[in-house]
Amino acid sequence: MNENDIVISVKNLVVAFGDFHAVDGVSFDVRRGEIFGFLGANGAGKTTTIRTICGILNPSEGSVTVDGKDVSSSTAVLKPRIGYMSQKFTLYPDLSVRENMYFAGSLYGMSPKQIDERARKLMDFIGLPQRIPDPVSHLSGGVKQMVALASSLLHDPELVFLDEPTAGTSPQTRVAFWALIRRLAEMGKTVFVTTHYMDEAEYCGRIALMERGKIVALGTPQKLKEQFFPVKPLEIAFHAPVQNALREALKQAGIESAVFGNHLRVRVSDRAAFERACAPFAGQFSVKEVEPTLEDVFLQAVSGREAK
Amino acid sequence: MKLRARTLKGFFVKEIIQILRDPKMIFAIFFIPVMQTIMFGLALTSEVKNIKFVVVSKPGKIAQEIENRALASGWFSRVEGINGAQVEDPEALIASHRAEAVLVAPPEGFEKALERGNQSIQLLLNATNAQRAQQVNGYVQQIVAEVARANGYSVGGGLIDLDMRVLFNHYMDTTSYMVPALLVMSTFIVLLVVGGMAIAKEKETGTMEKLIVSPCSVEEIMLGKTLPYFVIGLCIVGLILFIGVAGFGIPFRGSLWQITVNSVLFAVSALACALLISTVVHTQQQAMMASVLYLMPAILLSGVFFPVANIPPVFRWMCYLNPMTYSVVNFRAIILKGGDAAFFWQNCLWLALISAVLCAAAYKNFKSKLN
Repeated sequence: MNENDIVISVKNLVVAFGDFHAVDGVSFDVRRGEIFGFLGANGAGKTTTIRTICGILNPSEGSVTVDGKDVSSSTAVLKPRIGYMSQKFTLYPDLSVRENMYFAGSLYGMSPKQIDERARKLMDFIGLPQRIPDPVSHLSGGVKQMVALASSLLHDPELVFLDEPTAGTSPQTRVAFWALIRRLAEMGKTVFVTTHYMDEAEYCGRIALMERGKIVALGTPQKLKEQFFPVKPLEIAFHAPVQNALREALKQAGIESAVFGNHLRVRVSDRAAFERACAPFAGQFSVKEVEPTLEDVFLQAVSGREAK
Repeated sequence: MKLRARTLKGFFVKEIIQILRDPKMIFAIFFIPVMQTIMFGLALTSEVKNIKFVVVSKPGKIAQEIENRALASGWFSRVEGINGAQVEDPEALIASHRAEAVLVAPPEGFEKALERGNQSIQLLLNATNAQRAQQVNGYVQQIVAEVARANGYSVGGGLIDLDMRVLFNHYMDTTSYMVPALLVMSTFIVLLVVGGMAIAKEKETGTMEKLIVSPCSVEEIMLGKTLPYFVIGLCIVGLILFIGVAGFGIPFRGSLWQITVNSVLFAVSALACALLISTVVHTQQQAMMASVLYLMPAILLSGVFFPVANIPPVFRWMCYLNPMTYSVVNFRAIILKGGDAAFFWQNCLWLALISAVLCAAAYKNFKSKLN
């Protein structure tokens, strides 16, 4: 990996509010032009990390640099390069899209002509009509999010931070939104996105799993799956009602299983022991290997950490 | 210090659109202060009027003249159904609230008493409101003396014959006295409440985040958020002044530039208070509560309703810390007296000093809260 590729570098970051460490010793690098996903439950410290990188919060310990510049001391240089879409809705509901754009642009010192030009491009980009005369409050949830994204891209930032951009929107909106995120990365922008939808994380170039202020896993989705599941999990489908009996037998053999609808999921390290436990139920079930999901990885990473 | 014209213009346009698009805001900003000033200006008069007055005496010329003169003065009113010649227990009239002042002639009548001189005439007053009773006493004494003199009796001793000259407010009209002060009060209230809520609103809805991640400076946020209200404040002053002068015939003896300088200073002080409040609150409701908690003592200790000179020295320093105090005396002086330069500048100086301290405190607080 080329040193020049690294845009954001976070080293041993601690952000404390009193005694509470919202972010507790986190280190990672983000490369130019990648989609970097931040996963974790609410309260895991994702938003605090983003806010620190954007310069809204100051680190209690450790350092955050963007292009080698410390964020807390060079905010004036870095702020124009950062686009931030907050978890909160940051458009003014009583203003129209255009009025919102004008205000957002004025914060970055853009001229009305520049704003008009950029707004036209962005409305094309998000696939909305140029003129929406209504106040933003009249728009649907999905459209609002799209407009909020456009507004945060108005000043053409290189680094785009999206904090839970798809929370509470419809599946269609989520798909459309992720298509936009991919296009942003294709344009060469670095996109840093947080989510708690595990399926969305599959779209990311690399992901960091966060849990209680710490990163518990980091890598490409494929790498993480291989790392936590060297052996692919097995899925057992039943032809006869022996699910509970089989679970019991597996348990006695020391193999944990999880119920997934009509199926049973098992993580097997000792294939022979598994075969032995299943032998009495031969013919009443079928087994196949499945691809682990990121949800499996997340559960594994978190339980692994708790076991320690 | 970083101030960009484009950013300030952006704020200004945005705030004005938001205000104009909200009928409740227009109502609160323009209608309420105008109504307050007009209504209070007319209603809150400290002039003593409508005194229910009875002269208890057997029928006679002097008794009749006293009564006529009293009624003609406009201060007194007749108590229907009571004949002064037939009242047996004058005190009962006061006790039953049917009369507020009862003048009781000696048994032989006013004429005899005045001829003899020195004879006292009894005046019964309802003194539950001591201040009012004293004024009534003054009125009655004056009327009796006038009637006596008109009839050729000499009234020496008890009554001092004052030669009074009324300056500046010839009709001693309380509306003219109150409107300039009420104007300051209502404008201050609007600026404090609306200005404080405007910033709290950004925090509450989360739009503050957008401002913080953008490259705009603390100064730009503070100025951008208050400048529109500053302009609105000056408009309110102009509007009320126009209505007061054109509609209510309040004499306007000062100069517009003095009014403007003073308005600018007190609008700045009100908005600095609003900024200070908004640095400690998180929601609009809290901003509202804080404004009300501040306004109550600030209004009572500003000289709008109770003269500062009447307030005991122990509490008077609070009046002198209150920016409203200086604006109130200045506005009254400018509008009614034409604004003596030295007096005007002295008040402006104090106002400017207080505003500067408030601005500095708001700036410091704002800056530390944002970082």
